[in-house]
Amino acid sequence: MSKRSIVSGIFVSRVIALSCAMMLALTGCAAAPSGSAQGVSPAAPASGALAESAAPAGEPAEGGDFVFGIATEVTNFDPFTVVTADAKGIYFNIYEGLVKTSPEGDFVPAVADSAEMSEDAATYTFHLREGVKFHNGNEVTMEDVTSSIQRAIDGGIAGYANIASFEPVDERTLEIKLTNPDTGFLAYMTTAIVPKDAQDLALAPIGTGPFKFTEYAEQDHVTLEKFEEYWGEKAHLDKVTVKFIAGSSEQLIDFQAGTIDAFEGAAGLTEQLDKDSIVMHTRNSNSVQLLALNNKVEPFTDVRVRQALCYAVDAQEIIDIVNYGYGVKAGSPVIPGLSKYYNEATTDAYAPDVEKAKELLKEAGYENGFTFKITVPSNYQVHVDSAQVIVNQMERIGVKAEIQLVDWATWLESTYKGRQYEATLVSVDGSIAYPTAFLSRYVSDASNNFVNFNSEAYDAKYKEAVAETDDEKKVALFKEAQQILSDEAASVYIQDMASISVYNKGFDGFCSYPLYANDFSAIYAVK
Amino acid sequence: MRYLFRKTMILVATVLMITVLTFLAFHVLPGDPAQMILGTQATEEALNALREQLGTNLPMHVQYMNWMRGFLHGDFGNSIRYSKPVAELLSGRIPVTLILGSMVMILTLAVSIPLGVFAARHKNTWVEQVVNFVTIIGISVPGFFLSILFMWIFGLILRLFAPGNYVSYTDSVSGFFSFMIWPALAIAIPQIAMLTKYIRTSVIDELRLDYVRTAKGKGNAPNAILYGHVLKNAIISVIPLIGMMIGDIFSGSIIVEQVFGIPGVGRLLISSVTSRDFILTQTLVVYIAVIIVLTNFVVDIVIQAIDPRIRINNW
Amino acid sequence: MRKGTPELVIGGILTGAIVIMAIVSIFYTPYDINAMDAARRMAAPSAVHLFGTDNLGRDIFSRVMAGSRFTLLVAVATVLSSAFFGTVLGMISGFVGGFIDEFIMRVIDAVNSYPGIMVALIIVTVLPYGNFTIVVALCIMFVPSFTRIVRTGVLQYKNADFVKNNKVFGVSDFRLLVVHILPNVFPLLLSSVVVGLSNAILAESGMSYLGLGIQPPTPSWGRMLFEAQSIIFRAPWYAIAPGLMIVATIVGFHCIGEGLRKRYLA
Repeated sequence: MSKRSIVSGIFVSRVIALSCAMMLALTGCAAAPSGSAQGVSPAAPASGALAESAAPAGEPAEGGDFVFGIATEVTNFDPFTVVTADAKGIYFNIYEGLVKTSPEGDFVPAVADSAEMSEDAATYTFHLREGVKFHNGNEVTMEDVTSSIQRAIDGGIAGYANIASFEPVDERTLEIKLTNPDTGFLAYMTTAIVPKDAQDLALAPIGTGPFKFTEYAEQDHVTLEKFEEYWGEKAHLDKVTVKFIAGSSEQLIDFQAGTIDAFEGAAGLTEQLDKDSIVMHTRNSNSVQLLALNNKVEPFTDVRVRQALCYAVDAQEIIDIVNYGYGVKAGSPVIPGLSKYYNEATTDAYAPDVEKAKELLKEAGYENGFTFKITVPSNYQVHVDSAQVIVNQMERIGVKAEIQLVDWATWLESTYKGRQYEATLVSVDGSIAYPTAFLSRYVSDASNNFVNFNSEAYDAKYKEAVAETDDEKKVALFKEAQQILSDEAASVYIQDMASISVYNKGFDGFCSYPLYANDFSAIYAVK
Repeated sequence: MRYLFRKTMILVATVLMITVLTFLAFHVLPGDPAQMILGTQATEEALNALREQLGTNLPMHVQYMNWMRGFLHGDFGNSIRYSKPVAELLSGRIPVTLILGSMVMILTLAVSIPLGVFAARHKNTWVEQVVNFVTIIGISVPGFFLSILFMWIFGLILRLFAPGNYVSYTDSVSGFFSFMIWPALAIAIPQIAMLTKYIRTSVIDELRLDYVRTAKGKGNAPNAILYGHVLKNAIISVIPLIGMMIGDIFSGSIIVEQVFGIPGVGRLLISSVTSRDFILTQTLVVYIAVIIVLTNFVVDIVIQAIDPRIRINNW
Repeated sequence: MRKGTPELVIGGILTGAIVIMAIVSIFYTPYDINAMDAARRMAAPSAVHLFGTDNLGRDIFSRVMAGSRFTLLVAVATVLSSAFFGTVLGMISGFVGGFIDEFIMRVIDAVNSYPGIMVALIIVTVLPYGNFTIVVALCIMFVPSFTRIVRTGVLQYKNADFVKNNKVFGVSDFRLLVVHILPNVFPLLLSSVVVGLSNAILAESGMSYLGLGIQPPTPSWGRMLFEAQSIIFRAPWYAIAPGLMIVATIVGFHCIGEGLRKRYLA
């Protein structure tokens, strides 16, 4: 019944351990309203996730042009260079890896049609699918696959550093050996497979996805066209234009004027539209908004002060005021939507409690409060607004917070890289839908540990979790690691913000994923 | 000839000064273009590889010298953000911004000179008060706000144009102009308001000067005085403002291009600075400076040529 | 001509009212300027919220009141400082002429053609964080126009007969400039001071984006207008209150300027 089902056999030598990660049958979006029969999906949008799929508005029509507005321009389409969320939203349609992420958060076959993992989780074997074509018309060969893996290694793509060797067994079989065993390694194999002779992926991307790249006009748009020779379920639309519209009011106006058919924005924006004339899809942004506290700067060196701030911040209030009630409270850096790994207990570990916060401050010797500065990247209105709510919340416990807006380049360099800040408000996403993507930065010596978190207990727990090959134990260890972050109040975790897509009534088929992706192949014009 | 040569040398010196300023600015500004492109997920290896590829791993002064060397040979280099020759990025954009600027300039002069004189002529009447009030509102409304307002009222409600749907002049000249008139108006309105105010003031000042009184004494009709001598002098007093206005119009077009989605130079400049694209910024700043300096240079010559009270200084 | 100057009265009343409002806001605003309420967001103007509420449910009237303080301080400080430096530079440039003139004008050209966003970014990097460092950035951006205006004025009058005559009588250059030329340049300068004020109010809103200027949640009129544009469809009144205040301020200053001109120069 699902039109986009990819039925195939990924058979795994140790089926038990890998059932969740690799068992697959249906990748259904709105087209499969009853949901996947395999109720094992780790990221089933049940507990925390917001996936609110509207009933299909009409029958899909084949063909049609679709214009989608996004705020941040993507200037480089090389999947081995640029891995920002916005870029991935576009890549999702152009490129495919050996496997790809399904709406349920599973990893389903793509360029490979099956995969096996060895008992010790140190060797993975992939079988290439027959007849997969690149957008240039050439069939995917083993050489393309191996050169792509090499590109990913050279590009420093997350997870690839763990590859000890990759060898073709025969023309269609590839064996990858890992340095450290990892049952979650499949998640990394979603990175693109490209032709070995592809020269300029940055501006002329070639992949195997349902859409091929046709044009990029700086500061204006990217055009994608339906790839007729796609191996799987072909796209409905003929053409998709991704239009870059920087300002939020401009997006609203362009949408109302019909210049764009859909866009994605924060609730503050979409709430301004007349709900009767649009189709709204709410999903998680798959990033955790946090008030990052620099653990190396006074007074945040003191765990009690950090805990006090956790008690002071009322996430629900931020969600209600800034996000119009859309959003999922989070208590750890792992997105709640990754429900298999997310530690539920952390969500309300610090239920708002002004008295307790004051007590903790008193213990820490800050009876009379203190003043600190929250650095906020000014291009994110949602963070600027949230910071203003936090200023009020801090006032309740007698702490004075001041906001300093900085431009994004400055934030990246001074705040994120340079760690020159007291507190900062941002959302942190993961490069893949796997806990390591969210948790690795809290290891003491991680180069991206911008909160300067330092805990031997955590380092050990994290290492143990990554190395563990038993799935159940692994999950438990990741949860324990999150518990440490929560107990130590590494930072104040607030929410996984809602991201709201707004479509005009001419289109439907929206499909939500546990990572940042805009699946245009599922979108169709309504008959 | 010698005069021209000297002026050219001065132009070169000014532009050089500007490039040094930009270089110093990028020297102190925090921000790493590679990190901007790769985002927070980037690994250190990826960052290093990209920095090397972009040439941003080199010390700032080396980057500056490299840019300068290329520039002198007519090669503006490659944009860091767009990894594409700057010349290619600019070629389509320069005409757009120049046309937009010219439209604004023509609109501004065509409206504010008659309006300013008109207001001055009806000094101390309700007409002047109305003009005054309208100009003040014009001055008080910021460009970004006016742009949004225009898109909303003329685009969404009255449907006079399609917001966000820029039409290139290569596709349709009439479509281009019927779209561009709105952003041009959005930039022009504050300029018109400001200039009207100046002209009014300066005409009123002229009117009380001796020669007007003399002319009046000789029995010339007031209208002839106003539109003959006074207008000429009023225009002279406006000319120096044109140099300033060029700068203002350009800053105006930065915002307006952004809001209306026009692929012009202004939008490119903002993104080049916010993404710390040194090569692109440097070229754009030089380009803008040359236009402004040249305009001011022409303005100076014109003033000196038509106003006998101001002599060319010979040093 | 000498029938009194109603402009001066009107301007005085308007400006006075705004200044009083600014002072009152230190002690009293109808609501806490930062108090938010999701249930009351984007409420239309009513007896309860005179100017309505913003997207976070804050009382716009209270914020406009408090905003006057910061907005006016920044605007006045910016205009006074840039008018002062602009006048000094313009007088030197116009009166001395020659190489000095050329040099000053080319520096002015350079600054004028330099993108404001870069000036702002540099200032925020170089100077310590503070609500008023923005004055420095705006001053740098505003000096060129004042310089040009004053210089042109000086050039116009420096060879006028009354100046030459005075020179013959041995009046010093400085006195010539300040006593005889400056008053004649004054009307145009006044015009640009009024324009400059509104520009400063508006520019502040854009600068806070780069980390300069008045930081939220502290209200400023410019920033309120900036925020208003994104909710203009649902709550157009958010723009009206700060917009009206800016117009009122400009009208007030304009009237005072006109009044002064009439009284002392006519």
